[in-house]
Amino acid sequence: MAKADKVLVLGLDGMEPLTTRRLVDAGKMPNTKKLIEMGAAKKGLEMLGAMPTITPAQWTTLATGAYPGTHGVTDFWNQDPDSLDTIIYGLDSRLCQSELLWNVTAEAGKKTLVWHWPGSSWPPTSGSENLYVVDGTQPASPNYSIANIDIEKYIEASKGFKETKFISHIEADNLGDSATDCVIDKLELEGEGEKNEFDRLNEISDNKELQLNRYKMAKIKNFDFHLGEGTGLGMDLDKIPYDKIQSVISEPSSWKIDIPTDALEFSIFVSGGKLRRPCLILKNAQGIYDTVSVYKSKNDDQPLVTLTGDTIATDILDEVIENGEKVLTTSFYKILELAPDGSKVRMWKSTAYKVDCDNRWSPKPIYKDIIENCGYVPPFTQIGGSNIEFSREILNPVWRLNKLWQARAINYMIEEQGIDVVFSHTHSIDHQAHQYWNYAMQKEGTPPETEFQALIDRTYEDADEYIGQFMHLLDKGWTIFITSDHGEQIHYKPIAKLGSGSGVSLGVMKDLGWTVLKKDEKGNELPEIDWEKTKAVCIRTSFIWINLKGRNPNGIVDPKDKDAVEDAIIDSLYTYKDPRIGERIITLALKNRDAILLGLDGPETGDIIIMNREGMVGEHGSGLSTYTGYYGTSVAPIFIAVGKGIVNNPDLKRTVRQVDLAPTIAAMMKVRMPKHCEGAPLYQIISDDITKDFIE
Amino acid sequence: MENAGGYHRDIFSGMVATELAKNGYFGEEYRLYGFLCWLNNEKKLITAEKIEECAKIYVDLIEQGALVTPYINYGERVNKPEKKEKTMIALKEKIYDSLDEKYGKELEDNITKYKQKVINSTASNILRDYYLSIEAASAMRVKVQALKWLAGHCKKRGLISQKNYNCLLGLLPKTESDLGEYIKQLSGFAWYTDNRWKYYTNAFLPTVVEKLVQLQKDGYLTSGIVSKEYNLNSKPAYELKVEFQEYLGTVLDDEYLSMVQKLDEMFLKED
Repeated sequence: MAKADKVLVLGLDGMEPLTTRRLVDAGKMPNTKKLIEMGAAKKGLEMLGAMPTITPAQWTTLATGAYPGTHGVTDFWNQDPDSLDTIIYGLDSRLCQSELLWNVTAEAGKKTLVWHWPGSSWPPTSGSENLYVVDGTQPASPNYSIANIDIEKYIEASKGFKETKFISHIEADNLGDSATDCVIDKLELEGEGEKNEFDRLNEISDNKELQLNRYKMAKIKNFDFHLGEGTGLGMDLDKIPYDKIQSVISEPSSWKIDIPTDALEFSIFVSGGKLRRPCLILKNAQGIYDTVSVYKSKNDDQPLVTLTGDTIATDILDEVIENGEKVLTTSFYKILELAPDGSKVRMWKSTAYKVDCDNRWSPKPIYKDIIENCGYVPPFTQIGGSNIEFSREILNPVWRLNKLWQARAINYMIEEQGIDVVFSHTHSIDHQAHQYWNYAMQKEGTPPETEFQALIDRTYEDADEYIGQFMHLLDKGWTIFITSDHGEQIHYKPIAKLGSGSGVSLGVMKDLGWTVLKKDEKGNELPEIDWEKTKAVCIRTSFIWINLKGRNPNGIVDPKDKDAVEDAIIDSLYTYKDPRIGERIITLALKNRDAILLGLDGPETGDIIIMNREGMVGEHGSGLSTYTGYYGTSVAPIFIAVGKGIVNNPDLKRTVRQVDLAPTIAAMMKVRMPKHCEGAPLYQIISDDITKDFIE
Repeated sequence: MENAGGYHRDIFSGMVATELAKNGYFGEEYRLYGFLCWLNNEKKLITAEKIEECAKIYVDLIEQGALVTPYINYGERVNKPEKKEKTMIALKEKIYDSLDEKYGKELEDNITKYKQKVINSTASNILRDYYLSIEAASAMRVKVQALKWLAGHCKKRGLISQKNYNCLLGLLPKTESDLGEYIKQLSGFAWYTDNRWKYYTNAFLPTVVEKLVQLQKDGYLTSGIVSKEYNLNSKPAYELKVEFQEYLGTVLDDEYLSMVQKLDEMFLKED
């Protein structure tokens, strides 16, 4: 009986069809080209994404075959049922109300690896010993939320400096040259009271019902005033803190080891400035300073790392002090500039990741198995943005190394642990998109847009290289799906001030009078909602709630008026013109019951669902999956299938929906459908011997 | 979280996850590894919380001549660290019951079988001859582990006496690492397939042990496990593997591997 025995889902967060198609046609993505030629895809490579076009919601759709309204993961955050201005952490598998395909495959006896899938993967929800899960508590990179114990550092050393200084990211605004306006204006993670309740629940029992309710303890209040261009929906990733070190270059002194007479020295600091690391600048045979060696102390024979050229040094082990104890960490280093006469050095050191850190790996031993055999988990960098040097020399190549490590790790798990099914995710494209895609359309005071456009292309070429690491599996009978949650577009109009990445959106809703803030004695607005005057709030990416009597604690809208208020809000949004450009800001607004058309009905969304207008949306998030942007970019996710059981059809005529991936895999592997699946197998891409089997 | 202003949701969600984890939001996976062992006329359940520790004890006990079952594990995700002790006791009981059910009878049968063996000098002679053939002290130092494994194997089967075993081990030089606090270790073994020996190497001892146990279960002849320590700051493991495989070839050389075959033939006859 024919079926797909081994399946690899290569998820590339943010990978979109238009840019892929352009670069494939230009011969810059040879591996992807080969897959398309061998496999099945739409001519334009697109998939119709679920909405909102937000990471956790869409990855959960890909894993369940259900729409967000059904699986209940509707954003990065879910709505606190007790308070309209409060959100709860959403990357929690216990919030997902639909069955996950990886639980089905694991329980069907398939060894299944879920690799950093930022939608309902952590904590693991099946006890099957066939299920292996790596992190998934945030989209950035494995271990980001748990291993990062010393922030990244930008180092400048010069003969011209008078003193050596460590400028902590906490003490100063080391926010990158292109920092945009602060968009999160008031933020509060609720404190002790909630923690006590959390403890109380834990003490009572570990039963499932209580576990499901535990999410209520993670409450966050945040007001987005939309003060700048950013909306919290994507433009603001380049505002990132880092420690800054200014160090004096001088003649070496007090070294207990033999060093060249013409060497120079300077110092850097690690561990939040608590530990000093001496560095030597060394000459090459031609008499040019071209090497920097970083030592743990002036007594050590061997340096921690020796840096030359523009190579990033990886897996550099050093100690960091955490809670008073020395902890082994791993970092990356890179020289950005080294003057031939040794008078100036600029360097970058990544965040330091704790080496002993297996809490996000299940079962835990796979962590050590992987780091021992494939290298340490690469530290995640947040440096980049409109600083083209940071984006080109640090962010982009660090992501390339991250992907290559990930490919090594996944291939290792396949070869050594006999993994049959892989659900994998990398955040490389999405993270870079939020950092600098926006500057690929010329902005005042930033480098030429062509430099960022070239970097976008390089990001895709790197993605192709990553895909290439798995091509050998096709010869071993694997079926491969290349897919993404959403694409990334470059917006070409001001971003609409409606919808928020991480809280309550006050912009348009306040302008229209639907949301009202309390005022102090002088009439200044306070960051607190006046519930006595507020009829509705817009919260998270795309959702508006009516402040309803009987449902909400301070409700003022009578239930009998709800429909009329909803109509009034929808009317006001359709007629509202953005004062900056005088244009309508939304494409559509639907009542909850009507939002079933988008799969966004149900209790986990809102009373009204809004989709902002094309061009006025950040890279993705608050608009439709079909939007396109500047430089030939788009919001649509990508879909390519190839390998055993897939027919050769590079011009697939049917619409491929995000909900179709899970049932297609289930059908091809002949495991049962996930229980709440709403999509259907893509019959047109599955070979006849399989379809015949399941039709029979 | 007050410093979170300006972070993108992708990053901010990670910061929230960090805070939540500190409060035990995601719970903690507690796991216990264990196997049954028979050594010096005593049957014991060996358990360890870390798989690396379990694998190391496993290899040590084999080298001491213990009869062992494969190791298994059970785990549970719990929300409060205070529940760890109770959880571990329950996991230990579960491991014992499961091992006893799966391997208890086989272990007892082997104990009975090997107890009845009459010690002869053949195995001792084979090991002694190999030992005497190693001339240089440096070569001896690297071959120590491989000999220990075989001596333990013979002792387990009742084919060499405790006295001869002690005597052989007494002749072997001690190996000490001067690599400092942070080290990494590569391990490997040889296995016989398609009329030739192949090497398997890995930087995680439990994976090596599991691979060896699986190959033995599938009927392949294997050597013992050989390990080598490296400074943690040396090349990454995937690059070191080539170097380690060369080392493995010098320890598990043709002479050694033919001794493994000779002993295996003897074991088959004895069985």
